[in-house]
Amino acid sequence: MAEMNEEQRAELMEKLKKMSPEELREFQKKQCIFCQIMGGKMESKKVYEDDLAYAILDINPATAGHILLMPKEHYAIMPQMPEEVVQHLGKVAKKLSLAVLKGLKVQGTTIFVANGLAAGQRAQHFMMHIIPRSEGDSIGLVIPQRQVDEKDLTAIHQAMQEKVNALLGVKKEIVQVETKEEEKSETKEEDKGEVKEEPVEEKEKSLPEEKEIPLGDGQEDVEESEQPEEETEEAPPEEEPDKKEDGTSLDDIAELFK
Amino acid sequence: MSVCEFCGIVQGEFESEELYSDESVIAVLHLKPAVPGQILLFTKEHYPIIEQVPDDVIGHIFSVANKLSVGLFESLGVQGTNIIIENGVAAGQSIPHFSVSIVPRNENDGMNLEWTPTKPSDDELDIAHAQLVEEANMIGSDEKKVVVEEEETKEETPPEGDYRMKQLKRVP
Repeated sequence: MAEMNEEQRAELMEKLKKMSPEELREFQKKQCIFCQIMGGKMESKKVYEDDLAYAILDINPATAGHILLMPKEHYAIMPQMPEEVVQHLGKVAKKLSLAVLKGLKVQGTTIFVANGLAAGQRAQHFMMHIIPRSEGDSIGLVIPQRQVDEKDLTAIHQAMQEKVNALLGVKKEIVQVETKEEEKSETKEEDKGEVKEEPVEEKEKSLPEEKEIPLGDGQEDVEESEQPEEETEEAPPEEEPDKKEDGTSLDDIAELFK
Repeated sequence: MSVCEFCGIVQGEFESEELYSDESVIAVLHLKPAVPGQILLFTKEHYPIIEQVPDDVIGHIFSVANKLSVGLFESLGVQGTNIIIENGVAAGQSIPHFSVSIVPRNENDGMNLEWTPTKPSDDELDIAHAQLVEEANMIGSDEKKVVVEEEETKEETPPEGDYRMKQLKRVP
């Protein structure tokens, strides 16, 4: 690949332009090191595999045990992935993080995704990094904090809100579909109607409410009525039994905050 | 008053630039962002670390994170996004409430979110690999148990059905 002359490159570009999206993906797959690893054509230290996901150790790890978790199918970035694959990888990431805490006896993990070159993505195959962390490991990876003018924050909020509504208002229903498919799709249609009406009246004042409307079903109306106090009842930790099952190491890690 | 800053946001005790909210998660703009537009997405329920969050909520929060990341691409026209979970104090987590950071990125934004490889030895890597494989083999074992139980209960009921079926067949 690297040693192409001008002519070959032009030829390749021409070929790529003519490809259908399916052909292009197939072509990318052939060029992808990680697809080759998963196809058994290159060696790797495999940690986990199931129908949709594959996890190996990074060959240039931040710390020993640094895991790369990938979809088996070739996707370049997260937005290309089907919802079910995104959700599945999230669940596997959680379990691999637990495996890191228990297996390597470290005090934390960083789960890291880069979408795009500008975000530091190196491979052409989408992946999640699960990095074992210990106090004072000095690998860097600190998210800096900067002071921002309140007006700028509000302006950027307004710039984002409409798109976020569009993306999450409708699609969120699909997330919940698993259990109540028919019910949800019905409410979705009704809600779309409401969306068009309500914002007209209180457009700018009620930004925080407005965005919730497209998602709304009966339950959420309660939350939207500005009585968030009701959620205090969520506080009692029902997850206690889970903690115990997961072993004491989790409590230790959670307790480090104190 | 909530002790936890994020629970305070959920309960409306602290002001926030709220972007999205549903029954299990909420997304707000970070007030001190690395890059303007950085989003904090967290569960409404208080869980200190990811391992304590139920699977269905994890699946949901990842798909919301993905859509918020798409939202950053499309509304701010950024060239990339990072999705980062700091899990545990050792990973830089400062608030004991599980959260996902979604950071808009552009070339030359002056941010360095890369890590410095520590170059562990081959032995260290082999040991880590063996330890991880052993733990990772446990993944899914909980679900398998549930499936087995379901199968068992199913087995109990069918004989009744079969019995009735046989009766029906005999009637004519």
